[in-house]
Amino acid sequence: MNLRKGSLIFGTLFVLFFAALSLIDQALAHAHDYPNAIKFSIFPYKSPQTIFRLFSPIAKRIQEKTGKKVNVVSAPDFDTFVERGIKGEYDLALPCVTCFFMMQPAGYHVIARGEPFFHGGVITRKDSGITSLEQLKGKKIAAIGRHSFAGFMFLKLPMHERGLSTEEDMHFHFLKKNDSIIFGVLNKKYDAGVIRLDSLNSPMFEAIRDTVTIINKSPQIPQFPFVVKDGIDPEIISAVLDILTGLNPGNEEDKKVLRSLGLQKIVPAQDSDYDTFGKILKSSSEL
Amino acid sequence: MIAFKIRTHLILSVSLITLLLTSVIVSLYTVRAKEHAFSKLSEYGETIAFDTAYAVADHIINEDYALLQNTILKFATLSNIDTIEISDSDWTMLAATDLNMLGTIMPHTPSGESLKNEDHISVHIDRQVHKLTVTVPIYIGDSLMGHARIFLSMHEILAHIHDIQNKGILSGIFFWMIAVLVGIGASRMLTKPVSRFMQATESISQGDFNVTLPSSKRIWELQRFSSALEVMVHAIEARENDLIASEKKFRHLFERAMEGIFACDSSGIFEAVNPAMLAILGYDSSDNLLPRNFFTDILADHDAIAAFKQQITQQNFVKGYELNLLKKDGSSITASLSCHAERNSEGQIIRYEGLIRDITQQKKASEEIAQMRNYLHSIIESMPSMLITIDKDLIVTQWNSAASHITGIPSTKAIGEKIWNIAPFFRKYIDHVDRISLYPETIKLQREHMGSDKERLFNMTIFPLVTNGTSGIAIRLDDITELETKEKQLQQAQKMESLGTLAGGLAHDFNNVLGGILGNLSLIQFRLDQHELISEEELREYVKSMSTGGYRAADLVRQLLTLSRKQKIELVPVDLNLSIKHVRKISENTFDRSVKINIQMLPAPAYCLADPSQIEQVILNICINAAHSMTIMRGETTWGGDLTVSLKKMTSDRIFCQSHPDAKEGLYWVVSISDTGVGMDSTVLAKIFDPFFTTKEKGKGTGLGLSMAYSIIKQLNGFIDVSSKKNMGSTFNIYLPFLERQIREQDLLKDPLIYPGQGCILVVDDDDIMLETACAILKSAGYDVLAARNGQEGVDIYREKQSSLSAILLDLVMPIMSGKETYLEIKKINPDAKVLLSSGFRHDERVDDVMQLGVNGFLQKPYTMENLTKTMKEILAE
Repeated sequence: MNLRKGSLIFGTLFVLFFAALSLIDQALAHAHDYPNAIKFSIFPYKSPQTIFRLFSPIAKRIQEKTGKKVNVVSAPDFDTFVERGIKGEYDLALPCVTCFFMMQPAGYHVIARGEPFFHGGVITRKDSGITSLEQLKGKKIAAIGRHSFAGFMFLKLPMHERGLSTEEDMHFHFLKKNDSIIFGVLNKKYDAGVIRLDSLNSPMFEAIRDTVTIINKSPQIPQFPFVVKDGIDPEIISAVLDILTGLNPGNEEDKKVLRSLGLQKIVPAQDSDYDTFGKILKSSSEL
Repeated sequence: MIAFKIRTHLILSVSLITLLLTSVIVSLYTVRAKEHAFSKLSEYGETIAFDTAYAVADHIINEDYALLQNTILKFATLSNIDTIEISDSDWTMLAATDLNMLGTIMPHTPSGESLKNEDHISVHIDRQVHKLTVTVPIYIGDSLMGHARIFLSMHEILAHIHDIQNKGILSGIFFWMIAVLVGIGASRMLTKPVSRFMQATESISQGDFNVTLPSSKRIWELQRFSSALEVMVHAIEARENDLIASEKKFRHLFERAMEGIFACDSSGIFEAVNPAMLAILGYDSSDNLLPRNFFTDILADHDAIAAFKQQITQQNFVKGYELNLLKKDGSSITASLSCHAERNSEGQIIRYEGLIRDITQQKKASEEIAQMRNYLHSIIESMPSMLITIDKDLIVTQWNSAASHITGIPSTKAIGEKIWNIAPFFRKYIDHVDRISLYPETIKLQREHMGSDKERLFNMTIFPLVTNGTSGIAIRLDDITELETKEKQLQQAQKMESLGTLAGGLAHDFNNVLGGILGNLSLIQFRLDQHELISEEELREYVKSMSTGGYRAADLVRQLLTLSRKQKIELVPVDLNLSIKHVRKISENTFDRSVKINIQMLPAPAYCLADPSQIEQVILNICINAAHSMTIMRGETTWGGDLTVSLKKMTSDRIFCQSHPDAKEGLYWVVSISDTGVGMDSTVLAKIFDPFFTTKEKGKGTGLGLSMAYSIIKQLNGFIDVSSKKNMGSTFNIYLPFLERQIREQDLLKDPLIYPGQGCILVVDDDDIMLETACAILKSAGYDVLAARNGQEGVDIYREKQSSLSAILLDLVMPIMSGKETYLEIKKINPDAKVLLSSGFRHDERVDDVMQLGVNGFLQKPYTMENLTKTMKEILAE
């Protein structure tokens, strides 16, 4: 009797606690919305602070040009990012390509994109003896996320073509971060890793670059699109576009910003620029 | 000031120190602990704040506020964390442990005192609510993301500090109690031996030095103190004993002192007197004297009192103050007073302490001594002898009137001067003075001249002088000039007596000699008258016989001259063998033939320092007496006997000196003269050296012979020892000091008979034989010779031939012009003329008279070829 009553009270208090947390979260979310601020949300493809550091220069330029405060934010995960996007919380965003297609219905459209294109790929240690996708059967494989094209989805098709199922024939572990995947493979924690291949160009991996082998490469993937929400002041959009496309690789400071983003330049773009890739993505998703 | 016991001092001190130390330590520790705790809490808060800021940065970027809230709630569970608040860059509260704070604006500056306020951190302390607030900004790169604020509770720290304080106080109380117990223990440890030391010192102060001193083995200082106290006790005991002994000694001294000791107050009333004082003043008991007044009852002379008081007031003491004191019976004594005045701090005399000595007898004795001194001084001053005393530095201390008279130097000038400075001739006696300084003895010197005055003779006696502990030397000089003259006259008279005694025998012998010579001459004359041819051999026999007679006659004459001469006494080395030989000749020629003369001489020379004439006279005198004892003194009985003269050397040792008071240790020559005559009894023997004592018939002896012999031998530092027995004969032993003398080598060699020479010699002699003989000898030696028969002729020849003449042989006794007159004339002609004087007289006053004029040499007649040529050569060589 007492135990049941205690459990009931404890359960009630637990629920109340999390309910309170949820209310706090909501309250804070609204409290953080400033009418004169531009919310610039970045897909969490890196750690929040890395993302903040990478995009703060651009945010500052936008803030200086528009006279509006720019808050660089991210999200804890893919779903939250997409969910917030769908809810229309972003004024300006850099979603992943998949996210863009998921958020597009909420009124976001592309204004610019980075160049060049990049590839996803499967890496193994050279000393592992794994040189083909077939050998991945039954192996532990680290990947970015289930919705990441370069970090997982592109592999479905070649695996399928080889009669293998990514869901059944191998064991995927989604680590979200390219860095974590590369280190996991090098440390023999995983037999293979699925990453954006340009992440190997980071100076961090210069020393170990020759110790891995790329056994499969995705088709050309366009960079994440810079999207704006419908209803944003065109002057702001124009100003943002000017700033993004105005980053000149010949300028040392701009070059530094572009390099930090892993881009050579940013060019104006439209939603239609991602149609082809959208179809590929759709095919992969259906496998 | 109130005195406390050691225990109280120790407990109070220890308590005070313990409490003070505890308070200081607890306070300091509390402050330090509080500061440290705050510092650590602040560091802790800073760490939590930075960790929180770092942890929530991602959530802020991701706008994951639920996770943000969850994160700070996790941090809030850490110890001492009271509240955590997170705001965005606009200070809007994003998360807080107090949910009511969400959405509110975070205060830019928290309440309380600022401990640190820097760019990236600020720390505040709110002492009222006991909270520490740490605020840090949340930066990513240089972009401000928000603020994190941590509220830390200080309750735990304060409680801990409070706990430390309580424990400190408890510890302080605990230590204080231990300290009190230790203080009590220590005080007991100290007070017990101290009490024992106090008891011991009280016993010591009461004179009990045998008390056992406590020994504290556990306290080093007390142990040392005990040792030091023990040493001190022994020292005090020794000092006390010394003091008692000293007090006893001085008490005895006071009681037994021969001098009167007294003490009286400033008015003169006696306070203490010793028995001697009572005895001096004639009192039986101190009770009778103590009430009396020193100034009014004892001092007889009131003028003396005034003078005494004046002197002691000025000098504070008097010493040897002579005054008259009244005895109890009213009689007066003379006393010497030494007194010291004792004054108080204001300088007033409060006490007299004095010493009185009865000097009545001493004064009387001093007067007598003074009289005696004057008397002795008068004797010294009146004595005809010079009496000089000198101290060890040769400074004259006594110079009597005779010395002043004889030397012409007054005593005022002489005394205090070094003796050499006023009488330089004393310098030659320095060896004697030095000897006396080392070996105190009396030195007697005979017939000394004083300085350049050769006319006067002195006997000098130098003897050590010890008076009053100071050493010095006394010199007595007796003028014996007149005595010497008389003695010489006496000696001469005695000689004449001896000569008279011997004359008969000499005349007989001389007649015999002359008879022999004349007999030979008459024989030769007779044979010549007979025109008898006399062979050379016969002629030589006659000449030899006459020559022997002539030499014998010359010998007799020389002996007579020796005896009769009056000459200056000269001490020279004399070979006693020769003296005995000479006496033997005289004796053999003059004594009765019934006397058999035995001579025992020594083969080697026997030298002594003497006058040869005097020695021969002494031996001869004794021999004459010996001969008389065997002849004329026997009267009608048979004459004759043995006269033995012997010579030997002997050593005088200590034993010999004891039996012969005049002897000194050393070597002596002993001339023994023994006869077998009538001898002497002891009565006669005791008087034989007395002047004018004789046992001979009237007219046959003057009684001067032995007296003279004794005197002469005495002067030569010798002595005569006589042994005799009635009718058995006598033996006279003459002891003369041995003279060490090397025999000259040339004396041992055979001298040549003639000493050749060159030059022209003028011979002046009135005796033709001597003139011819001299000329012949000189020619034989290689000289050219000119002859003059008297002095005038000699002068004339010299005046004429002086340039060619080398020397002159001049006879002393000549008619017309004597040798002296001749010499003076020749000297007028040539002051450098060399003259050899010749005379039949021995070297006496007449010869000396001429010698002093500058004659180069003297030769006694008859001379031999050897003597003449040798002497002449020596003169020419000068």
